Amino acid sequence: MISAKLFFETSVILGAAQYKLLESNNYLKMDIEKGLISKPERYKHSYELIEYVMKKKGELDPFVSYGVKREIRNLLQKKEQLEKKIIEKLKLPKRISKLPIEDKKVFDYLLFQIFFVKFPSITYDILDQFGSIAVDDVSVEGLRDELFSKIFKPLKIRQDYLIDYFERKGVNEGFLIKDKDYPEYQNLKKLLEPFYKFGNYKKINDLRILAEAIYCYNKMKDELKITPTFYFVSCDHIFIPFRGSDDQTFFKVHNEIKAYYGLEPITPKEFLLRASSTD
Amino acid sequence: MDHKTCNLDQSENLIFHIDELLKKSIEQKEISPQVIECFDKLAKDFEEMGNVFFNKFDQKMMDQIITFGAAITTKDICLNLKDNLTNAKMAHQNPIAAKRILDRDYLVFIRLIIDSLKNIYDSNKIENECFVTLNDSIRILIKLSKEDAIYKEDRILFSNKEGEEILVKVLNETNELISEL
Repeated sequence: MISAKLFFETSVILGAAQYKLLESNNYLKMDIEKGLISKPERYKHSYELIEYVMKKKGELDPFVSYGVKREIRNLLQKKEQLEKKIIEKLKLPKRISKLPIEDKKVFDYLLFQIFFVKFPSITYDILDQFGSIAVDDVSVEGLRDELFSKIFKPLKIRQDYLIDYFERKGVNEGFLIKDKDYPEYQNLKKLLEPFYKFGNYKKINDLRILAEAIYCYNKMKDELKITPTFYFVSCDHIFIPFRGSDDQTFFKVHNEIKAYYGLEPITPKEFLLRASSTD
Repeated sequence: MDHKTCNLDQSENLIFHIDELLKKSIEQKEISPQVIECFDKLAKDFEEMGNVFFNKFDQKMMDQIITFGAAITTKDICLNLKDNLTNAKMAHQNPIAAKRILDRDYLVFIRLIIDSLKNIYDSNKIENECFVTLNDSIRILIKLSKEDAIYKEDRILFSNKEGEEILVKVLNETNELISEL
């Protein structure tokens, strides 16, 4: 049996809540053919891991930071957040414009039940099972800056340089396409997407959450006077290891976080696999 | 402010009246038919409110979903309460059912919903405080009524297949959006 501290990141908790919602009998109040609505595997694993660690409390110590709790509560309690991050992106007015009024009402009612009643209720129930740890903002910001400069900046510089080089050569992506041949750079393009999307790494909340996890890990080492086995449980592309064609796990960011800071980013699926092999 | 068009003031008064009728029912150990009628009236008022907000926020989908959804969900809860009182009356458990509604503060949360809807109606927009109060009150009402075993969810249907197909696509895309959060 693994004995460890597990810091749960936002995407795992929201994914688990979505899975529980999709599994519940009264999800839609209507009979829609099973299988039409997809249930992503990572959500299933997120839910199963939370169930597992809650049963194994004592050996396993699951927790979140105040930052994770705040991020989730903001999403559920601030109208603009949910509107901007989900409702607007679904482009609903255009989609339902041709439906008869009575069907539009059914649509509105179901979406209200899903987004404002059931999903938040399940998410709060899951979140309430987790203890939370306060962090020192100044230290966390320092760790976030260090994370960027040590791990992500060199990769971004490499990417920028290569894009520029091949643009000048008149080749679209050139070497970048071949990155699949270099295991440690697999999926680098996807990983770096947020850095291009937000422009400024300080706007990437995922980076801040990882910095909070590192802060918690360092604090535990100081307080416990031992080095605990510490996992950063995440489904985010920015941290998690990907599996290559030969089923080996490799990922430069994942490996470097582990090497520099001592904690390991892990997917719920990977943790469950390891736990089942030691149970 | 004039809320007559969506019965908000009338519904607020009805809540106070129901409160009195429930207390009286407890004293007299018998639920009056009037209190059952009042819950039925309240449910109808919420249905009307839903329609008013549905038209009012025709161009603001998020606001339409919130207000229409909240009003119709509260209507369902009022009907559940009405059915519960009716069944209790028939089974001669009158004071218990009436007392439970008061003890568990159902009317307080319904009143909070009316207050929030009033605020939205007047200001033509949903401030965050109203958003939180509205949704929290509804979630608490559902939780209370589930605990009290009076919550029922009726099956609903689209009139044609297109609505169902759009819904399936929207829900699958929601899965992806949650991944990106």
